[in-house]
Amino acid sequence: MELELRTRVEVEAIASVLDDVDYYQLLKLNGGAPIPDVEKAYASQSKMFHPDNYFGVRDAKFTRAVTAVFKKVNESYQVLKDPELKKMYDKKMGFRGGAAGDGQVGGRRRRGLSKADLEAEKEALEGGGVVSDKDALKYWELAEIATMNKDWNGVVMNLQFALNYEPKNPILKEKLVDAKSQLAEKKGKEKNPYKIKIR
Amino acid sequence: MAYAIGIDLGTSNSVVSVVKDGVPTVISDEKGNRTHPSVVWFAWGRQVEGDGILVGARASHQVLLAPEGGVYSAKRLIGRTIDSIEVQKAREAVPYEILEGPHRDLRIRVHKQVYPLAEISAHVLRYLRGLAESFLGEPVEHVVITVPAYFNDNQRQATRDAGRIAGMEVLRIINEPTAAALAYGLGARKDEYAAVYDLGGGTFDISVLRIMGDVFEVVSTAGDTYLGGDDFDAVLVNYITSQLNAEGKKAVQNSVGARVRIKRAAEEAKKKLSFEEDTTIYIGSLYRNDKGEDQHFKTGITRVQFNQMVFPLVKRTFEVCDEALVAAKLEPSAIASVVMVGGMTRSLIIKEAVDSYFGQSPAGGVNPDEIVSVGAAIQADSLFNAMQGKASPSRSLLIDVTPQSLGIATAGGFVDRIIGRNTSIPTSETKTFTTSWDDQQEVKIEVFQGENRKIDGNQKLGEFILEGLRAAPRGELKLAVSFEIDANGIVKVTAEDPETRQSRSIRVEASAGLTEAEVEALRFDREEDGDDSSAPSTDGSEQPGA
Repeated sequence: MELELRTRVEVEAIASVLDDVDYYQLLKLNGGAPIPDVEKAYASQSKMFHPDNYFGVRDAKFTRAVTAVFKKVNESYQVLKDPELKKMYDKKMGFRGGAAGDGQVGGRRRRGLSKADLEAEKEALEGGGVVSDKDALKYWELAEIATMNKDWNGVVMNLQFALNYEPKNPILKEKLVDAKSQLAEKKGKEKNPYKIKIR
Repeated sequence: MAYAIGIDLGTSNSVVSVVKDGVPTVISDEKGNRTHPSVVWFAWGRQVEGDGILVGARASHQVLLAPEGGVYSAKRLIGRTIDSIEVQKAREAVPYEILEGPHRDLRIRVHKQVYPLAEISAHVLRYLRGLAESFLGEPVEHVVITVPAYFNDNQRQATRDAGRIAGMEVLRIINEPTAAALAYGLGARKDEYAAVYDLGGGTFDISVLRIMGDVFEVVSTAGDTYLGGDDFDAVLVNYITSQLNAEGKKAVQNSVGARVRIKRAAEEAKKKLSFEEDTTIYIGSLYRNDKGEDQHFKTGITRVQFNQMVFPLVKRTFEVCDEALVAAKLEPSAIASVVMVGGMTRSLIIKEAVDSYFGQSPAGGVNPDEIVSVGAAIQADSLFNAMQGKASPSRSLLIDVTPQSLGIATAGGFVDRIIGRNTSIPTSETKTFTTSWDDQQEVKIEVFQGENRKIDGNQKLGEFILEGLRAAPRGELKLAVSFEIDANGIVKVTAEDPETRQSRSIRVEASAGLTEAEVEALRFDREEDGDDSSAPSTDGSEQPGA
């Protein structure tokens, strides 16, 4: 399949700056544009960048470029169509309801934001707000499961791990004290029959 | 002029279509049948003409006469492992023997011959390709095959392997509900949400789509690969056999022929109950009495009785619908049209239930048996045209999602999610791994698909070993492992050492399927087809998915 030079140049140019554009720029929208605009933009950008449109192009470099662009278009859409994720993204990027202009936020801050980070943060908020660090959250959840199973050894261990990531978290500290006393109590109970046996 | 065909490879029946002169056409066999039983029948010895293998209506007929040569419902087993519930269930129900192959794949033994499961499906595909070739009067090389939306990576790969064994280039594996939406929405340029309720012979899928002009975006999908029309038949089969047991005729069920006839009678009764308030189930000469005389079996059933018996199955489909709508953040009333797919949706109880759930009657003018194959043909035409650089008049763009989350095993028996379900595809995520001890030479990564946080509730796709790592203190060596889901819904894993920019070899240790070499060796077109033009291109650095 013959590829128009213009298409090739555009796709490869966008692919080369993927890490530097924000989600709105990629969808050719003003920063903070409302969700219905996002949806329309996604449909039209997909018609431009979906790899299926170039199914017959036997050019690995171009195919890689267009696939990379589409994946990022997809990522932008997944974030901006979700009211909660969009709100978080807009806040961090300094966009306010489509009014805020570009360039208010430095490039460094932009690059650091990804869908995965936003989702992890959202999950942390949903996780009762006890912890906010992604790794701490993992151990906090393990500790909760261990609590349900009354596995106090596991609770203590996982809370200590979680505290490695959030050393100042008061709830984690409190839970750890509680779990330690549970563990001590359990050990106390277990020791008794043993002592009796010795006698 | 060359054509690409679309095949709906069903559990019980398959359909093949092609877009010819811009018009999608369903292709019939020589008797005018538009749906073809997904049945393969092997002759004992070679007493039948040709290679002794029959497919479709003729195979289905032979199964009545000589059931031990028949293999059917292969789709229920494809891409599954020997210890799965489905395989255990199938072992009790089918006359053929199910064995485990060398790579955790399944094999079938018929007349002392062992066949890989993908080869059985390949026979069905080759038969359908043959029908298309006689209809078009020219060879057909390219195909789009549909699978249930909820099929996992192993099942998709096995289906694609079957297409390749049948000697075709598989342009794309697409989801059945998505194909149906494409066929239904064609030409109707609107902006709305649609739902596809797909109850086939062996699987149930629901997909919620947003149609924006000619862009078809799947918003969410959910399904149950253990629920289908066959389960409704099984309820009636139980009803019949429980009455036989009451009559003390248990021995009859052990005969394969009797089982097949009881199943057919059950199917018949199920269909009749959509039109009649009650029906009679009659099976002539089903068993013999003590004196050796043929005895007929006869019983009655009402629609009310039937509806009560299948109610749990119907209810289950709407639990799955709830799941898809919650994921799409929509109420049932937000759905502008409901498309019904699969033979089971002809049933009155399903029509009425869908009507009350969505608050509207399903879209009319849709043939639930054929629409999926028509959609596959449209997609095949569109991709084939793009491939040849031709503009297609009805070029619609399909953006599908991955039905299940992809994750890797972490310490403590948990799964760390990498790509969430209902993420638009193609997509990829990169995760960085480090070594846990000094000069570690290998890192093992186990890949899972499913929603459970614990490993147990997930399907293991395979495990990868990144080997030959350069010597470095622990934690210092970082590996960027990229998990990619392509437009077929098929998973690929590649690894790179970001420091040296060197790609690492990935060894697939435990994937339930055939190896590349096995697929090549099985290809039906190997003898006559010398050139490699139809072989799929692989770029060497990657091995096909987990």
